[in-house]
Amino acid sequence: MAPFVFDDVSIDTPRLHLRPLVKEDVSRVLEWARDQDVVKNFSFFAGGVDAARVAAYIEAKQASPADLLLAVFERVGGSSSTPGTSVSTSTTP
Amino acid sequence: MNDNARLGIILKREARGRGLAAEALAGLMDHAFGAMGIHKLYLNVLTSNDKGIHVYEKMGFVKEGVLRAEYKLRGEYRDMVRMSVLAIECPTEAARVALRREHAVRILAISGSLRARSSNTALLGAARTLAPKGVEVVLYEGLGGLPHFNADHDGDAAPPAVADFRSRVRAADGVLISSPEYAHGVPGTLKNALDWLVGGHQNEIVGKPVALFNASPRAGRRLHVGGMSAAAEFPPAAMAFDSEDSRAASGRAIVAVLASARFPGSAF
Repeated sequence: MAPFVFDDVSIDTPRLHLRPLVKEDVSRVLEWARDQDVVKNFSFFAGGVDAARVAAYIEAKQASPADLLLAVFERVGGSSSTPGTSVSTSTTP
Repeated sequence: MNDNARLGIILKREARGRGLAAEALAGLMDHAFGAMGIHKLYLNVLTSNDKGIHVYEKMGFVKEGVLRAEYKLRGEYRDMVRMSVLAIECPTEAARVALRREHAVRILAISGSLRARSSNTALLGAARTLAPKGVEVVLYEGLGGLPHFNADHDGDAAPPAVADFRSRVRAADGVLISSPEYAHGVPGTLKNALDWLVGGHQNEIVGKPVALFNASPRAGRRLHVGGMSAAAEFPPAAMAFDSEDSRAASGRAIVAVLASARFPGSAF
C-alpha cells in the first residue's frame, strides 16, 4: 500500500467535520484535556497537561507518516463548523 | 503492511449522549475503508469502559479478546479489550460499496461476430455501459481463438483457450449473447464455442441464465429457435429487437434485462 497523505484529509458527516489537528488547536484541546472525567482513561493526561506538551504531541503526530490525528468539529446551522466544540480522534495506520 | 489501522477517540463532556461518537466513527470508518483502503480497524478499550465498548459494538466492532495488564493508568496495570472491524463487516457506506463490488453480478458478454466493427459487439459494449449498479458486464474476446470442437481433444486436458472460456462461463452469473444471423443460424464460431460448453465436464452453461440480443431487425427469432437452444436453456426474457426498435428502446431493453440480473439466481 502506498504511503498515506494526511495533510488534506477532510471528512464530513451530517453533523461533523473532521480535519487534521494543528498546533493552532492547542487551546481547544486544553479545554477538554483539563476535564478529568473526559481524560480519566488516558495515561497521557494523567499528570496534567499544558500547552507546550499538547503542542509537542501534535507536532510529533504531524511528523509521523503513520499517524493521523484528527480534530472533530460540530457543525452549527448546518453548513458552518465551530472549531473545538466536539471531540478529538486519532488513527494509526 | 497489513492494511490495518489502530483507532482511538476522545469525546468531550458536552458531546456525550448525542450519538456524535458513533457519527465520527462512521465518518472515520468510511474514510479508512474507502479512501485509505484499510482492511481492518482495531482499538483497545479498558474493560471497565462499558459505554465505549457499547458504542464500538454498535458500529460493528467485535471483541477479539482481553489484553491482560496491558495499560498502565495512574500506576495500575489495567486490562483492555481488543476490538476490531473488517472492511467487509463494516455497516457504513464505504463497506456497503465494497460489498457491492465484491458481490456484483457478473455477466459474460459474448458476441457472435468476429468483425472489428460488429454492431453486435457494439451492442454488448452498450450493455456494459448501461449496466446498473451491482452488475458487471465483461466482454469475452477469445471467440476467434477457440479451436474447432473435437471431442477427441476434450477431457481433463482441454485446449487452454477452451479451458479459459469454460472458466469464464463458470465464473459468470449469467451470459449475454449478441449474435448476427448467418444463413438462418448462428455463426459457426459461436456454435463452435457452444459445442465446447456442451462437452464441458462441469456443464458450465447448463441452467445458467442466458439472454440473447441481436442487432439485426430480422434475425432474432430465428436465432432464438436455432442451434443455440440446444446448448442453453433460454428463459422467456431472451429477446431480440424488432425493426421498430429505436436505439433508445434498445438501450431501455438492455437496462431492463441487466437490471433483472441484480440478484444472483434471478432469471433474466
